[in-house]
Amino acid sequence: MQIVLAGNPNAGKTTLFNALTGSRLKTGNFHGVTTTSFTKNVKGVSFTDSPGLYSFEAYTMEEGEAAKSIRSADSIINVVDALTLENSLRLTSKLIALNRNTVVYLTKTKALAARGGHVDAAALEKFLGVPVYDCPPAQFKKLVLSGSALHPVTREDMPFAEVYCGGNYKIRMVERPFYSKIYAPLIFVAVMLLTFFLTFYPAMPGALLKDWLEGLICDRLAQYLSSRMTNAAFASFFCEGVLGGVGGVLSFAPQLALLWLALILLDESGAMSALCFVTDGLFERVNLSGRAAFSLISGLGCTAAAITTTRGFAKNSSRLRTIAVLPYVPCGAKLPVFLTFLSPLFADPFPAVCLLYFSGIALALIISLIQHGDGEGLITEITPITLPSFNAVKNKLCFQLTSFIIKVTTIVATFCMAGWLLSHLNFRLQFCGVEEGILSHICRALLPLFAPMGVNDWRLCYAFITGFAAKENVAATISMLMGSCTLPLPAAAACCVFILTCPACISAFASSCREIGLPRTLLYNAAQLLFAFALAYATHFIFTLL
Amino acid sequence: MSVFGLKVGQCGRITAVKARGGVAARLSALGIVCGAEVTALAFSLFNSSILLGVGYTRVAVRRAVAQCIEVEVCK
Repeated sequence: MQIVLAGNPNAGKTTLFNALTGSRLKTGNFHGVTTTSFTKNVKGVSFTDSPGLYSFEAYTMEEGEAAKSIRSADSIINVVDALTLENSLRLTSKLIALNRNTVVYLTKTKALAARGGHVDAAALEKFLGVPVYDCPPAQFKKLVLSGSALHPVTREDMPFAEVYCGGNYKIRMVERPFYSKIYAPLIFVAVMLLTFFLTFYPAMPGALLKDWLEGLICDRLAQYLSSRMTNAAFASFFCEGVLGGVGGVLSFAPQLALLWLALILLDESGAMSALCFVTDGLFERVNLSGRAAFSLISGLGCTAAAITTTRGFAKNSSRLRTIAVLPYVPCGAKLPVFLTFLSPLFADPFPAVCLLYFSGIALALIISLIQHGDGEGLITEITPITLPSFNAVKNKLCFQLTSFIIKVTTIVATFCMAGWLLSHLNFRLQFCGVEEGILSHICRALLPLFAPMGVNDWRLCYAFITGFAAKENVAATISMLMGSCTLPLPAAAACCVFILTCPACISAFASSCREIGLPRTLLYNAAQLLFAFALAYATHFIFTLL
Repeated sequence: MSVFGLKVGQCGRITAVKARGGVAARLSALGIVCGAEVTALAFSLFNSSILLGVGYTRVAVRRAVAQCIEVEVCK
């Protein structure tokens, strides 16, 4: 049996899907987080999570995909947001007309009660003529899997007021600053500056935890293991190669966690949704809409994930332009690389890193302005501002940290191992010094490309190349092959600019291919690479003059 | 007058929606139909869009679309 979860955007479909199937799909307090359908089988029942839609007219690509999934369903679970029930029922009536095997699952009933409203599930059941459930997801799962969720219901005519009272839905005083065109941007900038301060400023938690973790993994653990290993070559391979590289990147976990926490709080509180509305005027001037704010801010976490959010654009030209500029927004993986270059030069890298982050966003906006294209309209629902749920924030943060650790201990570790082997083996596959290794010869041949940036160390050249697979590899490779990287200011600035503007990683490449096809993705990446080199050369030249 | 002419906090009853096609369908799906009451909640940077309270829903609408929605101010 195929069951599709359908409902308005931000109703809670993905949250329910995760509870029904044990999945960990991305959720958020924003209209348009889910952009593709996803199916999973549980005990012979196939559940499909679909993007939110208001009607079957396919105003956006994601709505078209949702409509297709819904039409092919055997049964429908209509997830309905109790806070906007009256509006949600427009879709419910269409779903019931399409497929009589529809049940309604109510969400956010506690939030409705908190604002003085209530919904009578039993009365709503008679009002609609289909089963209505207001119960915890685990209980609902048992009903669905046992086949007893669907049962006949006799429809009765009754006033809607007997079924539902919306409570106090007006904007509260505490919400007003988030919708103010003066205070909302200031709140966002203040939150980001506070986050950067706690993350990078010396003697702040982020920097302290990073130093402690690096000492633990790269010094104490490496020394302990090295003293216990009898084979010197293997000790060098594991302690210098793997631990040195992987440990160097893992030590950034506390700082990345602070950055992710800020983004999760912005999202879960509804502040992201409000910011999209308030900044719409800014995006209008670059021929986009406030919808792009969601994609750009998502890019601060991960470029690949941000690319998938562009499905919510109504116009294809806006989608293409946003995908083209997303790599300029510094993702979380670039943070360790910036700090690797800046920390040896600045006792306090906080202002420099802030400058890089805001420059990246500014560059994305400027390039969007330069690109030719029509403007994008804006008609979107905005989420109310609420206190984020502790469990939702905790679960998301833990999931991101776990994914980071898995990525670093698998992909990054593999690159570190490959890098160590290629740097310690010559073309006759004999162990040798690093300067005679295969890697040294290959990278020296490519060094002229990086020389105008002030890079004259082949190991740094290799680090940049590994960055195209995953940006964390750059910091890991430098940590493994060089220990640390102290460059003069012009070269460090040029390297940071190169990392800021070069094409994103292989995950983003794959995501872009899925959205806009391989030829266009290759074109965008080639243009970005040329621009990155040009800008890095110019940065080195300007800083040398200063 | 159009809904974009409302001041923050002012309420209006929709008398006409002059949009067509997908835009009209989206507005209708969000409750912006003739006879509905809307409240102007806020304006974005550079006054590019307006945040409307429509029933229990908050909807952000760009100026060009908002100018298609005619209202008479509620007394």
